[in-house]
Amino acid sequence: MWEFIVTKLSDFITYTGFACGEWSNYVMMLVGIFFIWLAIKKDFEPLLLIPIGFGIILGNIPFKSVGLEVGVYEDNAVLNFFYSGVKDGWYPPLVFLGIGAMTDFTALLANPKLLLVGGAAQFGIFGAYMIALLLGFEPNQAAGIAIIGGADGPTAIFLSSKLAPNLMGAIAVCAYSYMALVPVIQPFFMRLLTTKKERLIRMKPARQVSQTERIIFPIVGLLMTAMIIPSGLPLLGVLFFGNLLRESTKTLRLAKTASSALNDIVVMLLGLTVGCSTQASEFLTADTIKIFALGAFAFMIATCSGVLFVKLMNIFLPEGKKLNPLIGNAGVSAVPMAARISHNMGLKYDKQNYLLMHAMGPNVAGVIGSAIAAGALLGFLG
Amino acid sequence: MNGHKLFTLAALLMLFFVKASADGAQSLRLSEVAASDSNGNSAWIEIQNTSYGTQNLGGFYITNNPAALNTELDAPSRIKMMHLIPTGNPITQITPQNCIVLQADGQDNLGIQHLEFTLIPGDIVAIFSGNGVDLIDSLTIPVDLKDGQSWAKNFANNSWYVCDRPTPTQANDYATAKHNNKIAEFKEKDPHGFGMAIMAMGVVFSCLVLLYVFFKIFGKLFSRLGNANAQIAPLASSNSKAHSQDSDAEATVAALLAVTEATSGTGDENLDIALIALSLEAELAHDEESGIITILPGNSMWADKGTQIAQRQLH
Repeated sequence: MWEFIVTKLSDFITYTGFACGEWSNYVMMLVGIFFIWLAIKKDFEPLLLIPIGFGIILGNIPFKSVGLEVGVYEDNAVLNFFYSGVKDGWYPPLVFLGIGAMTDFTALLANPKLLLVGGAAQFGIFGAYMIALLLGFEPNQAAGIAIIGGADGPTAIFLSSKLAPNLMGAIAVCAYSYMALVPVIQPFFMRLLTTKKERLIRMKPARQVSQTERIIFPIVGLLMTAMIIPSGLPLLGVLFFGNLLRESTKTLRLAKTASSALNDIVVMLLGLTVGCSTQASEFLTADTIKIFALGAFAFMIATCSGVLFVKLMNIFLPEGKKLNPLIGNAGVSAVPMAARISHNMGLKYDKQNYLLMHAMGPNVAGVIGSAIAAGALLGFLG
Repeated sequence: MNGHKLFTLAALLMLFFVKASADGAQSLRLSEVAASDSNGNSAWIEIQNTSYGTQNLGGFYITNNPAALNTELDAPSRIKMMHLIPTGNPITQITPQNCIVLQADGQDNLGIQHLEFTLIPGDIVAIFSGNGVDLIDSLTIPVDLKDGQSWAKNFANNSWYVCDRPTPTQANDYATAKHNNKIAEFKEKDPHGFGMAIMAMGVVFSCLVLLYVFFKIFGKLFSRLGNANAQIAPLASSNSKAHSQDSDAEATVAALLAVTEATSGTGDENLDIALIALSLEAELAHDEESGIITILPGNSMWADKGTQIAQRQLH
């Protein structure tokens, strides 16, 4: 009897996480705890970093793979079922539905030339693509990594799940980490590339935008983008659909659900499963370090190209219609953080210069721009 | 009579089996082929059974000699130019939707899956049925096929394509192959990514410029319309004055109607007729339906507890 109990208990011990764990699992758990600390203490993207951080801990709890169907990569496991939204790429469009339902494109419609600033900032993606190729990544992997420069987590997950699924965990964590670090990365480059005189430019107040214009925007927006780049349809389609739900004013209940309950559910599952997918064996590699380095480059290039493009536009714009280059950084689609940085920077140099609404234009244009860029990369390489 | 029926049945059965056998042969298809390369890798031929029944490749002939396709030659002469796949070996049984790979390494002494000939780009491959005459399938390997590539069939549209990542023994995945080919093409022709940057940024800017142009024009149009509406507004307010005059008249009529109802007439017959006519006109004006169906709980039996209880009892 005692022999039986001892045998079973010894056997049981071999199944515990302590017996199966490796040092790399514990390193990843510390990374997860660090993410949670960043979210709670430093207020860095808590809605994303808490689920991701907890997911990293969850995904790195070691266990013996004996068909218990508990791991995120094991068929029939509950976590694997949640993970299908990431793997098959259907969480990102649902997040985009919420973004569409939340986003007010009025600032963009009032001054449509800001769309071009949102386009210019996408150069960060292609700059990073070129550097990734230099580092020896395959074109599809390079594209998956480069999309981090779009500063759009769902887009990064969507594209990497299609083009470089084996790197998706690292890409997703990197994209969200840098989005949280936007306030740290961008101001330096904004100051570096602008003169004091440029930072003091006061922009003309935006005109009133009618309800009809706001209703027409998602329909025309979808037609003009998806007809050119159908591969971006999963993201662009739902983004504009969500926005129509909001702007039609007749489906506010649906818009509210898409932007609150549904979005919260998807973000929770997305964050958790992305965190779970960063298992030490997949994550602690030299490629991850390269991806983080490339992500930083992508953000820097995107910020610089946005600011420089505004300066270029100013050459052609008449006096009184010039744009403040501090809104150029907002072309990356980290909504609304990037716009808030423009606003705060503007206030630092002129207490009466409120740039927030002006910066929201390129900021929301960046969302559309990064979705189109993802569609283009998928079209060329998918 | 019975003998005649049996004969007919036997003939039909024979026809059925002959037809089935012919169909079976036709379901064996060349699906992928690779030529021997400069790295010493030997050529191979993949043959797929496209049917839902097991097919036997044993007894069929295979060749790389184009002269064997000459239909003017007699069967024995043609057979001499072919390699016979031996019969009686389970290896040649191809299960449904599966395939067999034959090594074209010129070493047929190594086993029945090895052929007596080799293949280079530009060669033909043909399979003949057991009589050495009926051509089952054939192909020509492209002369520009490179090392590491194969020539594969896309069964979806019955076409052939160059596959950069050959898949012997596996079903040809055209979508994956196409994806891999795209990546290989970008790797070869755009190693630094400048082409991609130009093309993709071009796409991004095309979409955004289109949106910019549309909403610039549209915005101006709406601003003008807004101004026009602002100019129309004073006119509208003068119309509202006229409307208020109408309302005053309506109020007078209503007051008179109230007097009529209360006193069973004003005393003036003509005035009474005029008031009744006005009253009817007002009622007619309300005949227009709103188009919105509103059913209050009291208007239907949906909320009737008695009905619901009765229905529950019925179930």
